[in-house]
Amino acid sequence: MKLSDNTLVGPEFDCVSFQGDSILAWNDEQVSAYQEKFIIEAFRHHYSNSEEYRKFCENSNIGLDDIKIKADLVKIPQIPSAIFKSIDVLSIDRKDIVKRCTSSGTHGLISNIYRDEITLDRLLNSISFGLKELYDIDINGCTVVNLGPDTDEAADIWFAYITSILNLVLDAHNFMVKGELQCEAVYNFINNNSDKKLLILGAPPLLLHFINYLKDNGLKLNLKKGDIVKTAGGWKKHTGIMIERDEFSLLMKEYFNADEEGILDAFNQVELNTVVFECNKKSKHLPPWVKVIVRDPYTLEDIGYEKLGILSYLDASSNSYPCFLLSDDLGILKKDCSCGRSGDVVQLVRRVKKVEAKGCAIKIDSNLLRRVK
Amino acid sequence: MEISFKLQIIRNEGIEITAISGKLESSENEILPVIIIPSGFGSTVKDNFLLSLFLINNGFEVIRYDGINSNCFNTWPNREYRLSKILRRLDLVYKHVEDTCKTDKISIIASDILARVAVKYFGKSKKNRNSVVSLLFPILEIDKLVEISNNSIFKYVGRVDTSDSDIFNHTEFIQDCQKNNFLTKTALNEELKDIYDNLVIFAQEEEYFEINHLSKLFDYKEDYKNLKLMRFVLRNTTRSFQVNKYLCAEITKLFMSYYYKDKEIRVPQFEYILYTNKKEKNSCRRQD
Repeated sequence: MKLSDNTLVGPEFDCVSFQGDSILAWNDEQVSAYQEKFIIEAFRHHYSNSEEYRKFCENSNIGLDDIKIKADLVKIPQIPSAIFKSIDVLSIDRKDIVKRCTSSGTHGLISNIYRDEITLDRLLNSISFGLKELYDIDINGCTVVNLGPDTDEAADIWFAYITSILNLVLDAHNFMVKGELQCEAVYNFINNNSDKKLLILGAPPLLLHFINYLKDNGLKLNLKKGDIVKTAGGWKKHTGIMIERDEFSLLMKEYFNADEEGILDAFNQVELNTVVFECNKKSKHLPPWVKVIVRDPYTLEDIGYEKLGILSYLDASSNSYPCFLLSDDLGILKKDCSCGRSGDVVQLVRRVKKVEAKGCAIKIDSNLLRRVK
Repeated sequence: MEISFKLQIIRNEGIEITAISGKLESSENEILPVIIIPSGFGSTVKDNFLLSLFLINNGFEVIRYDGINSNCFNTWPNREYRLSKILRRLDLVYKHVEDTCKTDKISIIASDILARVAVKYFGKSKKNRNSVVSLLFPILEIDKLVEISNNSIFKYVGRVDTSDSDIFNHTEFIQDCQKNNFLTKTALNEELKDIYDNLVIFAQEEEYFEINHLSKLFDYKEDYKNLKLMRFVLRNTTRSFQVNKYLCAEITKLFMSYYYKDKEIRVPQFEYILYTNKKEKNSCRRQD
């Protein structure tokens, strides 16, 4: 029989990252080799195709020849998130832009990130990857109850958009219409679909709003084991007061009958092209295409594992802009996890304190409250 | 490129099948080659949305349908899963397509266990003159699957929680396979022989799909050079082709090479995919 040998369908990055065997079972050597190849390739691409990034590198005295081996990765210049609020950073022609993605724009400061087909495809693949690898959810494995809008209403707002595109990979139902959460419809839908595995998705303020609806109407839900309540979008309310996760979990258990292992968070910011999912041990697992370097807040030196510092990212999945970021978040990098998956996990501790650096969740929360009022 | 999606309820002999057909609105009155895509084991029409979008945008009419008792967007009760039933359903859909689409250019893309059913159907009925029988990650040797899976095919193959002990009657499944000649290699060889010239396989080396083993099945055939269509062994390609544009493009190109020579492929773009996905969902969700 004539069989063509080992045809690789698509670019190597996409095949290895999204189509291969479980890469969350890779050992350190495999991850290192992968990162050395693909992150350096990404650096070369952005350096060669983004004038803004090249200038940024030149200002940091880094040229193409300075990044050759794995040990050089920490030297790759990382753009502070705030830069995306002031200039457009692009590695593609403007005609290839498919989607302008914006952050919440609290206090008028908006990050603009421009994505092309390749970058959006990989974003979607990162979501699909996370659902499958962390939750064993394949395409029709569950029904999504999204407390956000559909794609049209989400427009450019990143968090809303990213949740709305779940429609492509799962049977998703959106419950925000014209900025208003349809609490009664959510309640009825969950009750009427109790035979299916459910993934209830929303920013914490929206879930709290829904809990208030349940409280006010003397209602409770009865989720079953295996159902997931997934939060994303940030943990601060419009007031800026942190909602403690423990407190949140207690409410979820009381009003949703949610299983502790099924109350999970995910992390993303508009500048990052990957959604980082949490396993049932509450660890946020990094896929190999995202390397996190924790940096000293004052010297920006790499401080390694188990120490609190500024989280910085090298995300190889972006084609349209250099996704090499110095974030506004403080966190800790850890190795492996008791869930059995290998690789790095990241723990976000808090934002770097800046007035303008509030999360998408605030925007959603304040929008929602405005509607309610 | 607007697509017209239609929900079709096919009823015959007490069997009801919910199918979704799709073709370009601009080709509404044209007779196009049709590709039938039955959902693979434990999957739904939603799995095949992206693939169908590629095919529709490149000049095909696509009919997708689910397993047993489905409303097109949900999984089906696995305890009723029998290959003879799947074969019967394929026959009904095929006849429906013949009646309504007025063409004999009717091809199939069948994945996993459905591939075995498609081989039997197209092989035995000789309905392959103008057809491409495309097998995607096929499971052809059911006997081997049964052996490997240690009496738990559904756990092995599918995305099924087997903690429910009532979910599958293994003995009845095997009896059905034996009765309908799905297990013997002789039958498989003969059926493959009938469809050989129009057969395309997209596969990945797996425990129950060994390339060498499959090659032996084809040993009776010496005239390899006369093959019309290629076989592909894929590396690093999962079944998750709902987000794998590259695989969808390869499959589409293969069909185009058969029906539309020298035509460039049109690749659906991200925002268009989102838009069409929503459109399909709104127009084809069945309310039972």
